[in-house]
Amino acid sequence: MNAKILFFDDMFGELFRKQLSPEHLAMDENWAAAVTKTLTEADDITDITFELAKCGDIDAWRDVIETEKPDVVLLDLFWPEEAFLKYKDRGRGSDISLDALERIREAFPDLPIVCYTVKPDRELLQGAYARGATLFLEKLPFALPEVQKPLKYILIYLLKYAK
Amino acid sequence: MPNVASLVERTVRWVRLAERMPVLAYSGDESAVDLILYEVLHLLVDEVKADIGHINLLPRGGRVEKVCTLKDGEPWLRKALDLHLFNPYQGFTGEVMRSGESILVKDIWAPGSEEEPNPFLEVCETMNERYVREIKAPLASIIIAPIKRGRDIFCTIELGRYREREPFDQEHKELIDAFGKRYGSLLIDYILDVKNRIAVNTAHKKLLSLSRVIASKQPVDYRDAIEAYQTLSAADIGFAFFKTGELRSSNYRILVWRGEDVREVFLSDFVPSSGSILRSDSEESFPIAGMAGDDRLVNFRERIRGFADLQQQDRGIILACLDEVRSYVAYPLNLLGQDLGAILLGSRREQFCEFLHMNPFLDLYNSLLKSFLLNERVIHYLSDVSLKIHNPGYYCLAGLKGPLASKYPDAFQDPEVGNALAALEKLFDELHDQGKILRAREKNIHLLKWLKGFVDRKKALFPGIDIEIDSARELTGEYLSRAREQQLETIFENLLTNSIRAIASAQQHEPSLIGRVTMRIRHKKGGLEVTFRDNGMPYATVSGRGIVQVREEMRHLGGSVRRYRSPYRVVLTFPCIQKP
Repeated sequence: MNAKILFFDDMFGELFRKQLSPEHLAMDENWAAAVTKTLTEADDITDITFELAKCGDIDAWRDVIETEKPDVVLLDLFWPEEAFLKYKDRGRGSDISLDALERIREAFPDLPIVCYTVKPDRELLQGAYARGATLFLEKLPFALPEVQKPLKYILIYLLKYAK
Repeated sequence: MPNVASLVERTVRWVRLAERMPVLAYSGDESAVDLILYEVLHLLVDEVKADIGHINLLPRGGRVEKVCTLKDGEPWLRKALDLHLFNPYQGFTGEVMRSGESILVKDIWAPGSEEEPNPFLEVCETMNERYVREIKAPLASIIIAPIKRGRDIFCTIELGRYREREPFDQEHKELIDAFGKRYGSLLIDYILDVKNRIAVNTAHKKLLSLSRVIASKQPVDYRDAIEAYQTLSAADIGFAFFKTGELRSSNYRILVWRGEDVREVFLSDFVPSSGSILRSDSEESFPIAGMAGDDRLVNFRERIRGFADLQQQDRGIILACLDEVRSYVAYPLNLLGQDLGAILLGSRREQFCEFLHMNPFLDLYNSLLKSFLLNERVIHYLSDVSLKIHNPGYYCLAGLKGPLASKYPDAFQDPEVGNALAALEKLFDELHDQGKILRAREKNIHLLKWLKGFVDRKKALFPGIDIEIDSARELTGEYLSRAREQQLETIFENLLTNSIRAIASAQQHEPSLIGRVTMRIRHKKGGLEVTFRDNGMPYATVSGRGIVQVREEMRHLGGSVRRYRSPYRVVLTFPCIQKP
């Protein structure tokens, strides 16, 4: 079985990448590489092959979803640079993603959406579920594929058993 | 000799004028000051059959201005003429200021002698050409009378007759003196009180809007922030320097204004010279008064002239404004060791510093602006700490833990290393959370109660205007709107400001009109509908910027705005959660 995951994270966008120094960016990239490796590498246990599409432009969500036709969306919840552009306040990074989440849910009622962020709080957890998140996870910024592996099993559950 | 009947008539006219003051002051707006002044001036012009009349206000600190001029019974002075501010120590007015006595001049154009030069002719060439042509050229005789509070002259009244007419005589001068002694102080005090009330309102409104901006973590609108200096000071040229950006950067946003024109210029990496008013470590005592050609202005001029990262047009405007400054007073914006910027109030007049000092209302505004600017910077720094803990902080920590766990498991499991990492993570969590507490949060606001509270506050501020809420009886239960208080304030402050202006305009045509603002509230499917209406001039909202803000905030709230022309009203629809 093949499945496509659309990976929405600000680290794939130019706005964010311009803000961080190369050594700090390397840490984020190592994390993304660990997630990519975990999800795309075949193993003996799972029978799903994941294909990843990555996007750092949250405003383009409709076009990207219609083009890529993902089976699951992975959505980062904190978009500080976009928040600075829109509200002149980087602290409102989650308002950007929650707004997009609500619209995606409205346009694609059956699409599983997994949200994640580093060190979440109660308000964000409630806000994400209120706007239609399928699952809310805490992001662990470790560049170790084995730490990211539970995500793979969660995605398998959503695609095969949660219908 | 005047007969008894004419004396009685005159007394009645003067007393009636005093009685009319409260009615004319009703709107509590700048237009009220004009209405009163023109009424006073009309009366005096009629009393001595003058052709031209002026009233000049001379408060120390604040606006020294020619507030109204009548020519042939019609107002002549217009805002666009840029002639309001003047130097009261020149010409014949200067003589009155020095002697404290009124003056009668038979012909202002008469050549003076070497011993007694004509003070008007000495300054005539420096005066505005149109003013000289239309106001001074046709005149011969004038009377200038001071209005005093103790020994302090805070107003002068100037009346003039055309040269082809009989000049004023001593009796006319005595009449104006009598009016000044009996009613002058009372009337002008009253006018200054109204002006002070307007000044307080201006400072209050600007501070309220700043506090709203800061509470919602929006960036400060610097053009808006400097409006109080433009309106409440005697400066015709001004520079406001605001330090912006990160802790270690030295970027300045300069707002330079000349009359009503404002230019915003950004100076990147502009490091103030030693002794600059932009540095709190300067040993100067502030505020500083100075004049054209002094070291401070010359040095700043040179810095701007040679500053590389500046557009030619911006450079040109700053230099042109600097070159026009003949005297200035500079106030630094320093607080708790933070250099936040500075305000420089300048004048085209020499030795004008006495009048450039801030009046009490502007001083209050200036003090609070400093606190707001500091607050804005502290919020910025704290948010920045939280953001940096989020990323790269947690990523760096994970970048340390990950390799440690996989490559050096023994070290990772060593309790000393483990405790240190746990303590580091706890510290990060605390700092991260402290930055997040400053987030602008939405909450459920009981809309009806909030509106009632808003109206009660505004009733206290505008006692001359009926502000009422007309809510339908069927509005039982709670209508909760998901919003921030600052959003609601922005919406209703803007609408009310427009209404107050519209009412003030209507009162110019009909002074006895009692202003009324009504908010009609009805249930609308899924929320509340508020119809905002006033009995002012039926034109579209005066403040274009205001309605844009209203639309934007209503859009954020998921509501809508509709405007109707006849009668003029604004209908706001708020989505609400209704609790029984």
